Amino acid sequence: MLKYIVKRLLTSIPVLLIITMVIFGVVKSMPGDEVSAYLGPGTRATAVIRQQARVKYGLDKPLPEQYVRWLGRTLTGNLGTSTTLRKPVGEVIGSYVWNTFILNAAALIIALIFAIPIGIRQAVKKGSFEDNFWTVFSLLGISVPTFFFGLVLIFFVGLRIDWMPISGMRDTMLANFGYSSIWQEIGDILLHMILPTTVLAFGTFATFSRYVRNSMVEVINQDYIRTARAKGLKEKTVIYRHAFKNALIPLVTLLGMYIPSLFSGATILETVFVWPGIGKVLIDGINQRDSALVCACLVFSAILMILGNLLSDVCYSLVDPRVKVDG
Amino acid sequence: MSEEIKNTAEPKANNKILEVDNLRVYFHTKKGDSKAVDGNHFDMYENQTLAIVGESGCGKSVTAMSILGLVSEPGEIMPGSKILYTGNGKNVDLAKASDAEIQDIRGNEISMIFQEPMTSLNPVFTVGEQIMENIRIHEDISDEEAKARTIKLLGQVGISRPDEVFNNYPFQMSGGMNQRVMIAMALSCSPKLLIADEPTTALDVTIQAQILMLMNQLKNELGTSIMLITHDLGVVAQVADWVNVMYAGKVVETADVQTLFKNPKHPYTIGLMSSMPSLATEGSRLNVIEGTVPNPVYLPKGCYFADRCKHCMQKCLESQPPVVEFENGHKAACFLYEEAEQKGE
Amino acid sequence: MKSKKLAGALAALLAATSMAGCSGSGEGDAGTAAVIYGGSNYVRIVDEELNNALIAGKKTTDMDASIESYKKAFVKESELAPYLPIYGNHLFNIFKKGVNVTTGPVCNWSQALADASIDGGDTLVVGMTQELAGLFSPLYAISSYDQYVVNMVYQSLLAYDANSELYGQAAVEVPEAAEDGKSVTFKLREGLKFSDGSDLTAEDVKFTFTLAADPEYIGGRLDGTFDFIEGWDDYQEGEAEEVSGIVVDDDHTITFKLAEPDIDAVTAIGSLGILSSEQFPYSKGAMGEYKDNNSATLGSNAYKVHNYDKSSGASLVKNENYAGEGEFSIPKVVIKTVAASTELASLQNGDVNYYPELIEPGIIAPATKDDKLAYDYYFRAAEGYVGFNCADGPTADPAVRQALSYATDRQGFVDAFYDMSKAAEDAQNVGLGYVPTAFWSPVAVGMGDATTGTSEIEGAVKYDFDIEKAKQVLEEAGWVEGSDGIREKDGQKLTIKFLASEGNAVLDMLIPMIMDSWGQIGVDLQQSTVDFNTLIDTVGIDSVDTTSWSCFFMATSFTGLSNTSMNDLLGYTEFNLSE
Repeated sequence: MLKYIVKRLLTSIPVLLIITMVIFGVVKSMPGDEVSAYLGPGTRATAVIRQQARVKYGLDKPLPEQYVRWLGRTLTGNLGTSTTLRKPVGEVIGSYVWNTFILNAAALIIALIFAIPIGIRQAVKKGSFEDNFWTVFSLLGISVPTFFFGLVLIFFVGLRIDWMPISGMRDTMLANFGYSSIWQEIGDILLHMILPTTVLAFGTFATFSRYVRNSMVEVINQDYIRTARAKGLKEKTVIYRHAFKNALIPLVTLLGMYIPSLFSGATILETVFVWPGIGKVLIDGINQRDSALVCACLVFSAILMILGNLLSDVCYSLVDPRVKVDG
Repeated sequence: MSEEIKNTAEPKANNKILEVDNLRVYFHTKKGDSKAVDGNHFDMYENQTLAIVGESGCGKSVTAMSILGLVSEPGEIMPGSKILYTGNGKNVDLAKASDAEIQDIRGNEISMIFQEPMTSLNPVFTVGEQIMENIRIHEDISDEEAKARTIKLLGQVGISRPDEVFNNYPFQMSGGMNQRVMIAMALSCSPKLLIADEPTTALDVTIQAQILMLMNQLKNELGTSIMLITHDLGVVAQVADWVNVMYAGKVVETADVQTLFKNPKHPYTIGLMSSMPSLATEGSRLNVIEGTVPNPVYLPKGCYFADRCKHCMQKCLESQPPVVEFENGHKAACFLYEEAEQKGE
Repeated sequence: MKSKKLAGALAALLAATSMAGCSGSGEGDAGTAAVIYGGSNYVRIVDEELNNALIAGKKTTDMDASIESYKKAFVKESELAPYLPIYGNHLFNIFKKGVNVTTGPVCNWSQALADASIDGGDTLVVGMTQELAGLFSPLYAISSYDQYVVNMVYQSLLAYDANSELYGQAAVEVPEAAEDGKSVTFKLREGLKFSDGSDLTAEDVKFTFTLAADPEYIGGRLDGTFDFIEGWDDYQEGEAEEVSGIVVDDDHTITFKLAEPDIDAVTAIGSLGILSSEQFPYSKGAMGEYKDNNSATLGSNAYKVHNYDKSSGASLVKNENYAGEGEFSIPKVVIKTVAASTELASLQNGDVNYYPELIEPGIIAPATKDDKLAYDYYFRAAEGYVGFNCADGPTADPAVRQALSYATDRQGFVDAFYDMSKAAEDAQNVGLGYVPTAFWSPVAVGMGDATTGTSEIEGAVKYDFDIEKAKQVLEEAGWVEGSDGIREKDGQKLTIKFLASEGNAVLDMLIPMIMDSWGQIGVDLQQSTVDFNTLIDTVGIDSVDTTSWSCFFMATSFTGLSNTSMNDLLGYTEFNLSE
C-alpha cells in the first residue's frame, strides 16, 4: 500500500508541473496590469513609477523567466507577497483556509448525520411517500441557490431571534476586546456557524442522501441480501450491516474526493455571511490581479484535487476487499 | 439444538416436518394479480429429499421462497395459505408467524441455499465470518468455538485447507467452492430442512455431480431433509426420493421418484420425460411440448395445461381438473383419469 | 527619467499639432523652465487658455487671485466640454438615534470624534461593506476605509472641522505663507505625545515627510504630492541626505520652503498624518517596517488601534497619552465588515450603530423612515462623469462634445437612479443625487457652489438637456446627416465608441438612455464592455490606444477643498521641457 501511495505521488508530480504552467499562464494573461490595479486609479504614479513598481515585483521580466523564478520560490515554500494585502501569501492562505475548513467540515458532518439514515430509509421504503418526500426535499437542496437560502435564513430566522448572529465569524465586541476563556471563543464561533452551516449542509445533504439512497437501492436488490435474510438475521442487521457496508463503498470514494473541497471556499456564502474564508480572498485577488495570491491558491487547489483522487482510491481499496492496489 | 454435528443420523420413523396447504402466492401488479403459486399442497418428512420440478416460471422458486418468507414485494402469501413446520417438536405456521418467529426458524430449523453462489455471498465479508454469523445468531457459544466449528464445517463440505479458506473472500474462490461454503453455512446449525433452489444450475456438470453427492452425504449424516428445486430431470433422478411436478403454479403430479420415471401419468410429466435428450436415442429431433406457459396474470378457468395437451377434452377447458390418487401416494391432477377413478380405482 | 519626460512632451506636441482646433505649447520666459501642459491622463485635452488659467490659479499663494484664475479655467472648460459630469451625490450617514456624531463635507465621522458622544453606550460600531485592508499608515492607506483608522490614530498639522473650517490640530494654528509665497512656517502645540508616551516634536514632522520623499516610496499613494517642496527631488532621486527644504527651527517650529508658490501647499502639508521617528529604524532607501508593517500603528491622536483582524475588523480605544484638544467621550470604536445584503438589517438589530457615507437609495430610503434611526448628510466630493477622447476620433471636435452634452438628459438620469420616492419627506427634499454643472470638486474653495449649482459663474456654459440645440451645434460645425441617419463630416462618421466597465449599475441605466437621445441627433453609438482594470489600462496615461474608444465613464473623488485636486491629479499633467 505504501509503495502504491508513493508511486502515485511520484506520478502526480509531472501532472502538477504542467498544471502550474497552465495556472501561471492563465493568471498572467488576464487582461489588465497588475501594477495598475495595485496602485489604483487615484494614484499619481506616472509611467516611470509604474515601471519601478514592476521591477520591484519582478513583473518586468519575460514570462518564462517569471515562471521559473516563481516555481523555484514556491518549491522552497516562499509563496510570494500578495500585492493587495501586502502580506506573505502563505500567511494569507493559512489564516483564511481554516475558517473555510471548519465551516465546510461542520456542514459535511451534519449533512452526513442526516443523509445516511435518511438515504437508507428511502432505499428501504423505495417508492413510498417517505421516499418521494425526501427526494423532493433533496431536489430543493440542490436547486435553491445558496445566497438566496442564506438571505431567507437571515431575514426569517436570524432577525427574528435575538441572540442569533446574522453575519461574521465572531462577536464584534468579544473578538476585539477579548474572550474570557477558550470555551467562550469556541461557543461564540459555533453560534456564528449556525446559519451558514445550515445553508451549506442543506445542499450537501441533498447530494449525499441521493447518493446513499441510490447506492443502497442497488445493494438491497442483490442476492446476498436475500441470503442474509435467509440466515435469520434481524432486518436491521441485514440493512445496516450487510447492505450498508456494501453501499458504503461508492460513498467512501465520493467522500475521498470531497475532502479536498473542504478547503476551498463557498464564496457566495462567505460573502453573504461575511465569513472570513479563502473563497472571498481568492475572488478579490482575481479582481485585483494579485497574481502571487491567485497562483498560490490555484496551485493549492490543484494539489488538493490530486490528493483527493489518491485518497479516494486508497479508501476504495481499503473498504472493498475485491479491489487491490498494486504496490 | 445439537451442539455437535452428528456423524450418523438415526433413521427416524418418517415424521412429518412440513405441511404446505393451499399455498397461494400472488404478485400484485398494475395489470392485476400474477398468480405465481395457486394452490400448492404437499408434505415433507424427515430424511426425505423432495424434488420440485418444472420449467421456468412454474412457481417452484416462489414456493421455496415462501416457506421462509423471502418472497419480495409485490409478492404476497395470500390468506388461507398454510405452511406448517413441525420439525423438532415445533409447531409454527410460517404463513402467519411473526418476524421474530420466522427469524428464529431461518438458518436454524430451515435453511436455504440459492442458485448463484458467486453473488449469494456478501463480497465484503470473509466466508468464515459469514458462516460464523449464522452460528452466533442462533446459538450462544464463544467465538473460538464458533470458529472451530466453522472450520470443521468447511472441511466437511469438501474444502481443502479450511483454516486458510476461512479468511478468504467469496470473490477469491470458484463457483463450486462458494456453493460448498453456502452449504456449510446452511447446515451450520443442523437444520431439519434444507431448501436448495437450483443449487447446481450455475455450475459445470462435474462440479454439479460433486455437490449433489455432498448434499446426499450430508443428508444421511445429519438427518436433514432436502427440498430440491430444479428443472433438471437428471438431477432429480440422482438424488430425489419424492418428486412434485409443478406447472403454472400448481402441482400437477406427485410420486416417488421411481414411479414417476417409470409410470408418469400427467400429460405434462410425460411430455417432460420424453423431451429429455438421451445419448441412447441418437439422431432424432428433440421432442418438444408445443405451446407456451400461460400468463400468470390471465390464467384460464380450465386446466392450465389444456391448450398444450394432446389429450385435451372439452371439460378440460371448463373447470380445474380433479386430483386423482393412484398407488402409494402417487397423485395426478387430470381429467383423463377421472373416469378411471369413477370406474372404481 | 528626464528623457522619458522629454519624449512624452514631444509626443504631446506632435499630437497637438495634428489636432484640429487645438493648439499645443506655451513657452515661458527665457531663463525659467519652459512648461508645457501636455494631454491629460484620460481625456487628453490640450488648450493654451485653459492651461494657463490653471497654472495661474495653482502657482500662487493669494487665494483671491487663485480663485479668479480658476473661474476663468472653469468657464473655458465648460466651453471645451472635455468632460460631461453626470451626477454628484449627497452622502448620507445613517445611525441609531442616540449616536451623536456631526460631520461635514471634508470632515467625516472619523475626524469628528472630538465632540461626538453616544447616549447610554460606550462603543461606536461602524459598519462598512468593504473589508479593511489593514494599511493603517498615512503614507500607505489607499482605501477610504483604512483612512478612517488613520484619521483616528494619527494627528496631522491641520484638519477640517464639521463646518469645513481648517484648524490647527498638531499645529497651533493655520499658518500664512510668507510674502513671496515661498515658505510657510508651522508652530506645533506643546506637550503632544504618541500613544507610547514619547513626545511629538518637529523632528517627527520632518521625518514623516522624509519618508514620503524616500526613493523606496516612489509609486506610493502620496508620491508626487509634495514635489513643490524645495530639495524634494534631490532627496528622492539624488544624493542629498535630507530634504533641504524642510527646516526644523526648534522642537516646536518647522518651516517648509517651496520651490515655487502653490495654492494648495499649506493644506497639502497640513493633511499628512505624523509618524514617529522612533517607531522603527530607518535609513535612506531602507524604509523597513514603515513600509512593510502597516498594521503597527503609533500615532498621537486620541485613539489607538486595539486589535486588527481582517475578518473581525478593527477596534480602537482611547489613547491614554493623548494630550491634544477635544473631549473624545466615546471610549471604544469598532469598525466591522457587513454584507451588502444585510446592511440595513445589521443596523436595525444593533450589530452596528453607525453607517457612514451611503449612497444607495435602496438602503437610505427605508432607513429615513425608521424612527429608531437618524441621519445626516453632506455633499460628496466626487462625481460620476463621461470623459471624451479629445485626441482622436469624432470627439476631438469640441462641437461634438458640446452636442453630446446637450443631448444627455442628466436630470432625468439622476431622478431615476437616485430615486428617493420611498424615503421620508425631509430626506426626499434633500435628495440623493444632483447634476453638477462642471467637472470640478463640489466642495472646492470658492468654486464648489458653482459646481453644485448653488451659485453661478458668469460665462460658463450650461448644458441643459436640449436635443434641438444639440442638433444645431452639430449642423453648424459641419456634421451633416447621412443617408443612414448617421451624421458625418469630412468623410468621418459620427461613430461614438463608448468604453464601459462591467457590473456598473449606473451604466446599466445610463447607456440605454443615451443610446436613445444620442441616436436622435444622428450618433452611431457602439458600446464595448471590459472589466475595470482593463478600462484603466486602455484610457490610461501610458496607453497608446486612442482609437478604440471615444468616451468612457468613471466615478472618482476629489481631494479636499483644493481646486486643482482633480484637475491636477487626473486632468492635466505637467511636463518640464528643459533642464
